[in-house]
Formats: sequence, structure tokens, C-alpha cells
Amino acid sequence: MIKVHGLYKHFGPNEVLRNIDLAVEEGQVVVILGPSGSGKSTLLRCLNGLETPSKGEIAVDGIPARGPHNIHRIRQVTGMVFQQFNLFPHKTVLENVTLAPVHVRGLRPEDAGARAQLLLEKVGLPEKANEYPSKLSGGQQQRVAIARALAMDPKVMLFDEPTSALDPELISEVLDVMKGLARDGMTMVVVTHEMGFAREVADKVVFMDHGEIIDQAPTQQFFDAPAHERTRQFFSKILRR
Amino acid sequence: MYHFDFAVLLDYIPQLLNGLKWTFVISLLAVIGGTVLGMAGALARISHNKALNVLAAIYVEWIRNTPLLVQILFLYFGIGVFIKFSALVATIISLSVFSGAYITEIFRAGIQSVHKGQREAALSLGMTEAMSLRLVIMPQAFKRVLPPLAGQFISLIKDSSLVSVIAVEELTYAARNVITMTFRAFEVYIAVAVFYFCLSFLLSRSVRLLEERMARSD
Repeated sequence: MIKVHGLYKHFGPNEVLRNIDLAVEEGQVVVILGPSGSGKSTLLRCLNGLETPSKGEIAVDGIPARGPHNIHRIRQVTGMVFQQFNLFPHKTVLENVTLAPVHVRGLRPEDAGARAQLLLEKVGLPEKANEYPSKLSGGQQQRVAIARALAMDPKVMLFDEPTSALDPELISEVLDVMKGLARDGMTMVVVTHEMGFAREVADKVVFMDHGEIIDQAPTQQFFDAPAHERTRQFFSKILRR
Repeated sequence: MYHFDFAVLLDYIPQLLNGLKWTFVISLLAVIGGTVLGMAGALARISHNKALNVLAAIYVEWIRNTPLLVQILFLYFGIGVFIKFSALVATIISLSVFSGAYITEIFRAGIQSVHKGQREAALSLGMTEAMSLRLVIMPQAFKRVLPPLAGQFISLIKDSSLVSVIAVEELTYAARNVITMTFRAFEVYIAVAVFYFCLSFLLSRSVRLLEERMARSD
């Protein structure tokens, strides 16, 4: 579903991604772990063209991420959820979910609305349809953001630290929705610091540091028998917290 | 001792109201023209096209750093050497171009004040840059620029008095006419000031109402 080969990215003299190779199969949940500034988010943002790679190849659903036309096609098949939710504050919850289906897909507003209502039920917020985002808690906003991304029927969902901006007591409601998606067989790439989520849901874990992939392995192997010294150090820091 | 006599004005009210009507028409057309120019200018200012960018910057700086009165005289008499405008057309063009420069900066600042995550969310949903601008960025920017925009429109109403120098029969010109007939400068200018005040105040109140309506989503 996603193939990355020899990916480099630098901002000026700063190299943020170095020689990244990654494959995500259909239906797989891949969690990307690593300390802050290790390039996780940049890698994710390269996948749907929010960042332009300096070198290397990316293909999503067989579409090479080259040129505005292809990038646009890739965005049609990927959904993205951001750390800061980025809901549209001037639109109601329902309008947030229907905006792209109506204007990008050309759905009739009634059809898009009916489908949006189903998605809002799926993320547990059917009664919030006519509220504005500012009236919602962070966890609720993030769940709407997930519904909004799902409304475009993506084949892949990208999550960029979806719970990092949330109060601790609101994290689980978002993770629960994500677990549900994973159970339904959605292909997901998740950048997160939630170890428990990674352990429970991920098929594969990728560990990044200083712009490189240090280790990638099936989840159980990754946690129980980390192959790399650097990974073990990271665990010991996290677990000591 | 000056003897105040506002009653003299009564005979000239129709003439002053006619002036007010033209001030209103001129301001309205210049508001529309200025907004269109300002929107185009702002899009040029934020575009990645270097030429458009520089062109818009020159426009803004040139207009903002020369007096409106000189611009009006230049257009009507200067350009008028080559292309004949009626005084009314010259008025509407010069006021539109003048306010357009300020509105360019107002819109540019408004667009750039919208968090970049909004654009990224729109693009990630498969929207084009144009859609993201139209459906996501502009509506939020518009809400934020309303107060400075209203200020700009009010300036425009007041600045329109300058076109009396090219004999457009708006409020200030009408006032001068009435004075030549009545010699009642004090009373006439008081009345004219009240007219301007009402027009500007009405505008700022209606923008205020619009702002309150748009605050629903806050």
C-alpha cells in the first residue's frame, strides 16, 4: 500500500530524514516511535505530499508521489489526522465532515450529510453534529477530525501524534476510535508516543532517531527482543518515566 | 456679532441631499472596486509568482506613499491628456485604486493570520489550493479583517470629499455651491458634517452587526 525507498529530506543544511526505506502492506497498522525531532512527523507528511522529499521514491496505492497531479491523487486515497486537530472553526461539526465530500467528490449535500451522521456515530459523537468545534473538548475535536478524514473513504489513514495535544483523561477515547478502525482492517500509519497503543494494535513498529530508521520489526519481536542497543536505551528512558 | 440662521438651509436641503446621494453612490462603487482590487492584490502578494508579487508590492507602496489628492488630479488632468474620463469615472477609479492598496494589505494580513494547519487539513482532504483558499482560509480571514475593513470603508466615505476639486457634485461640492448662494459657511458645513457622520456611523454600525452574527462559531 505504501512503499518508501531511499528517502532523504533536508531543510536547508538540516538533514531531517536519511535513507528511509519503509513498506506498509494493505490492512497493516504501523506505528512509528522515536524521540522528538527524530523525523517521524516529517516522514508521515512526506507520504501525502505536505512535505516534498529532497531525494528518494514514495508510492502510495501504486501512485508515485511526484508532481502536483499525483500528489493530489494520493491525497484522495489518504486521510490525515493532525496533532492540533485542525478542524475548520467556521464550520459546524457536520459541515466539517461533509465539506470535502461535497466539494471534492461532488456528493449531494444530503447524501454527504447522511453519511457524515453515520461516521459521527462511529466516533461516538452523533449528538454534536450541529455544534461548532470550539464547543467541543480536545478529545471530541480529534474524533471529529477522524470522522472528517474517513468521510473521503481513504485507503490509508495517517495519524500525526493524534493524542499529544490532549489532556491525559481524553487520550483513551481517541485511541479507542483508532483501535476500532484497526479492527475494521484500515491501513494505518501512526506516529505516537503511546507505547500501550503500539503494543496492542500495531502489526509492525518502526523506531526512528536522528532522521534514520534504527529498527523496524513485528510488534512482539520489537518489544520483547529489541535487536538494537539504541532501541533498548529508548525503552529504558521511557519506562523509567 | 454673527447671527446664526439654520433656517436658511431649508431651501437648499434638496441640493445637499443630492450631494449626499452622490457621495453614497461614489463610496459604494469605490468600496466594491477597492474590495475587488484588494482581493486581487492580496492574492498576488501571497502567490508564489515572483512577478505578481513584486507588481502588487509596487502598487501598494506607490499608492500608500502618495497623496490621494495628487492621485485624483493626476488621473483626471494628467492621464486626462491622453484618455478623457468624465469626472465621475475618474473619481471612482482613483478612489478604488487608492482604497484597493490599503485593502490589499488588510486581506493579505488576514489570510496570513489563518493557521497553516487549516490549509494542510484542507489539502490532506484532497482539496486544491484554490478550494482551500475559498472554502477554508478566506471565510476565516474575512471574519478577522472586518474591523480594519470597516475602518477603511469609513475613511473612503470621508476621503470622497476630495473629489469636489474636480467638480463632482457630491456632498462637499454641493456644500460649496450652497455657500456661494447663502454665504452661510458655518451652518452649511455643520449640516454637511452631520450628513457625513450619519453615513459613516450607519456603516460602522452595520459592520458591527455583521461581526456579531459571524461570531456564532467562536
